[in-house]
Amino acid sequence: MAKARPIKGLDIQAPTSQNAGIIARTRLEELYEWSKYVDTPYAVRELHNLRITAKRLRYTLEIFEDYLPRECKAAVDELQQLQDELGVLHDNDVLIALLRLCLANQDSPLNNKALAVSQKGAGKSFLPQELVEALVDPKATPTAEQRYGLEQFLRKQEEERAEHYQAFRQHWYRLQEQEFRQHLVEALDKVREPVAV
Amino acid sequence: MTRQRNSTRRGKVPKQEQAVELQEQTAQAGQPVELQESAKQPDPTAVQQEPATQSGQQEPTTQPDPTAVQQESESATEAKMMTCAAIDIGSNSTEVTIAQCTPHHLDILQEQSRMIRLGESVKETGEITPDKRDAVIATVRQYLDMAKQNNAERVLAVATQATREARNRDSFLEDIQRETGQVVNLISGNVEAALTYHGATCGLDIPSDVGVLDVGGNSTELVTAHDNHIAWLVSLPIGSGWLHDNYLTSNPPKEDEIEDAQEFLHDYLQALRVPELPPALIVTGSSAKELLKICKQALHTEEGSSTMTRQDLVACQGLLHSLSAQEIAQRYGQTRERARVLPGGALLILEMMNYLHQDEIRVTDRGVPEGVLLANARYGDKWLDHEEVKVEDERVGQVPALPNKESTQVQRSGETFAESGHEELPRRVKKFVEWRSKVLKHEDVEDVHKMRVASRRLRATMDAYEATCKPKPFTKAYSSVKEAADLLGRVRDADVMLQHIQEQEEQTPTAEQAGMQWLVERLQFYRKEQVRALDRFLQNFDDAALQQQVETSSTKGVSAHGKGQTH
Repeated sequence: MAKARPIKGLDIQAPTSQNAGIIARTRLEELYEWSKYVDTPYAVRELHNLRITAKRLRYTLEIFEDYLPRECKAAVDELQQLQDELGVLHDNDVLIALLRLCLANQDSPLNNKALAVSQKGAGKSFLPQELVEALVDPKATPTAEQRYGLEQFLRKQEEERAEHYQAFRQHWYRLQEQEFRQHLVEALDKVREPVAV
Repeated sequence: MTRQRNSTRRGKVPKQEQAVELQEQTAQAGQPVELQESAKQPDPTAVQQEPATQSGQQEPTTQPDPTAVQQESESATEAKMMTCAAIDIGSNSTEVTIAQCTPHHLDILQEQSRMIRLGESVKETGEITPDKRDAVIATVRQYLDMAKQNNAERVLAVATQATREARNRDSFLEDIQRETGQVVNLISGNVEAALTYHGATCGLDIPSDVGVLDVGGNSTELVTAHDNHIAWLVSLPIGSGWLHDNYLTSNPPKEDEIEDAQEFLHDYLQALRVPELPPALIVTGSSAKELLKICKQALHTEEGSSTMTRQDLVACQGLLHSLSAQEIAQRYGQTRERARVLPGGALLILEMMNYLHQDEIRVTDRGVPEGVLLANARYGDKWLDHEEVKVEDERVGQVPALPNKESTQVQRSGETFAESGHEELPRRVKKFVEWRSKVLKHEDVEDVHKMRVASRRLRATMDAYEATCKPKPFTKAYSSVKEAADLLGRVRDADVMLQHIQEQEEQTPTAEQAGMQWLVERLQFYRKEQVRALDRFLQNFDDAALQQQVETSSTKGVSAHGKGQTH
């Protein structure tokens, strides 16, 4: 998971709006750091990180809603949509990974590797160890008929994923055409200086 | 796979429902007219063919002459049946009811309602904007024509909360009078409540002790009656449109908006002091009427019934929180404007039911316009001054103060970062721990989702305010919230996957289903393990300790981390 960047320049005795602007700008930069993977459909982990950074920015704008300019609210809705689009993509990726594990032979190197990675924790694997164990349990292997169903389901998931990726990508580029980043920076610039009360 | 942001997934939409074609009528100002018209052909022989007169008093605040009122009342009781029209210029809709009236009975000839949403313009600008004014004038003109067609002898008009609040109310009412000739009485909230009671209880077989609730656009009236007389009443400056404009602005409303609205209503109603809980509750207002329609259509509740249970309303809410206003309008024959304020109406009714300890309500079509007609039939020309209408004594309940959002915002903009963190962090902890007991009850899988969302918001708030916190207690608190969030996330992710697979299974050829069933079994096995782990964690979770860690950590003034967030 993408680690949040520490934020510099906060002053806890300064108005909240000023600090909120600094935090939101940092989160916006983080989001755009991962945006280089938008055109890489199978950069599974990086697209997931893009989602995490979109979520962080959205939450920041929501938490500080009372302190930030009203224009930020429109950005919240777009970020929510991005997060949802990348969310369904991630759900597809998790399910696809699980199905591949189920369909591999029990002693396959793929399964052993998945187990080994998942044991390293959430930072290394997006599949929890217990979930991998439940699916590659040698006492509960799928029958031939069940494997056929799983293969078909995998194929559908892959098709669905391709559609979800396209929907996300189109939305992303629409936002860039609308100068999403620039508009948000301009709105946040309004609270750059301490607000006189 | 669809991730549902909404918490009320239980309220699924029946697949076979047909979209109802909207028969929106376009009136002179181009506004849609609600599908609420019912018309009976008047019996021309039953009404006196006298020229219509227009009556009303601009200032309902003058002291009545009790003797005169009494005389009016008695003479009115003996009066013959008279055809009258009542126009109600409300915050959401402008309505008309035309009826043959006696003091205790109304024979409705025609009624219509048009959604204009005066309250929206008052909220945005503090005034009734020219487009809204023109829409009202066009509607009043149309209603006066209807009254004439029905040979109404008298037309009475009242305006309520949105007009009361508008800075330009005087010129607005003058414009209506100048353009249409109709005098409109600006009535107080208490008069509105009393008229609602008279209208809503007319002709119903109800107990003599009862509560009447009118959920309007910008106001809500609550009346309790004892022995068929008003015992207590209050007019609250909140309504379905008000909740929409102040809290439920997204379409459909977002989970956090709903939570905030719910929290506001809960706190607000706690400050209300009803002297005695009514044994039954009658609810009126367009929101209640339209929710009943949706209930019948979507939940297939009994056709002739006017009763809605708490479960019915919760199911309706599920729809309103999952579907956009446009979809609600298409599926359930609502105008889009009405569909947008219905979530506010449903929430308000449910919170009132909680507050008044009611498990079901009875919905009636009757309200202010019918109350106006009855009051006029009972008390004559001075109907507005009669003590059963102009209630100004100890029966008037105290209105709890509304939090002033604007002044709060101005005040907040001056807060230091440390001060706002000190206020916000404990609030988020409270919201998070509130879900613990619900999740442990295992009554609804959605509770896990809601607690997870609360945990995410708490973590995000902690991330945002880390710089204002002392590191040691902060880190402790943060790690326990993170652990809870991880465990909740595992159960929730399993639920989302299971739901997705089961939905797809329904559309999958039988030959392929065996594989999906195998996967479902394995995931259910995994989920069970995760639920056990979550239960163990939550059973031992110390709410008070977390609250204390956060309060100790958060400081109003002393320099804390000061270097920003690293989580």
